[in-house]
Amino acid sequence: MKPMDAVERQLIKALQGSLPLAENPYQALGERLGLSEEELVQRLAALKASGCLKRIGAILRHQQSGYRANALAVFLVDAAAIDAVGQALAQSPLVSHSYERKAYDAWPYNLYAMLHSRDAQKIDAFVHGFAAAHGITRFEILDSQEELKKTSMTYYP
Amino acid sequence: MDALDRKLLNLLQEGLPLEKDPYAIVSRQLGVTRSEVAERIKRLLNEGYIRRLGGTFDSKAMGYESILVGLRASEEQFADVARYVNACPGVTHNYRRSGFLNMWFTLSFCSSAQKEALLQGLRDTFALSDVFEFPKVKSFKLRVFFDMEGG
Repeated sequence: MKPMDAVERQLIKALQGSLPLAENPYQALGERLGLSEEELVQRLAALKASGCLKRIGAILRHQQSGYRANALAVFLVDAAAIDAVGQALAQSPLVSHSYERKAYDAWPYNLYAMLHSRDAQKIDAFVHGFAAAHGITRFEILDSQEELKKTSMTYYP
Repeated sequence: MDALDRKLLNLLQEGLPLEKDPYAIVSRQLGVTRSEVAERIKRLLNEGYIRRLGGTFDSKAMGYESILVGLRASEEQFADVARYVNACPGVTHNYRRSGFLNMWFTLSFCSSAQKEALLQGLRDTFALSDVFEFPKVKSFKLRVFFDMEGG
């Protein structure tokens, strides 16, 4: 990671919160940081180009919007098949995250997916159907029973 | 929420334009005025539909590693373990889940010493024997999008 100047740090800090409530939030944010809107937009483009900034957007309280069913599904997949199975899993609109992860003797699952739906049965049906279609016999659906913490990462506390 | 709110939320999840006067651009896409866009965003934030309207960063590009940790805590110690885990600033998500491993959290760290300190601290403080690190081997998908107009 290349070293950052003070303004860039301030900008990243500000972007970890919410944009100012204004008709033109970039102009308002620029004023706070002592930058013109033009300069602010250039800084945003540079952060995006460096790969640090993925986007500026809305993070929803998805439970409040009706997505009340959330689960982590874990599968035990043959090493030889995991790429194909992982890519197939990624196709589902129910899946937000999917990774191959390290497995252990005591916890042998190697393919993970986060699933969200308005309807828990939909997740259940999808996971069972997916496992059957790919000959997966060992899998678990780990329901999200309680949100203990949810926040965005603070990079410069 | 009406149909325009739903459309706006979908658009905002994809990301604002990184160009001057972004709400003017959004307002043209939605066929409303810029003030209407700003007002609706304010309301959706106030009503709690939007948790945050801001930047999403790539933690790896920012110099951080992240792992998923799963552990088993007994009911008697569960709340204390959760408090201990949540106090760590690198922990961004923590959930109680069904299954043998009943607490799952994500941890971002910039040196593995930070990770070790938390995990060893957990083992020592609570005598936990089942604490597993699940680093990513391969990424197949990362797209957090809640379709407000369907789904």
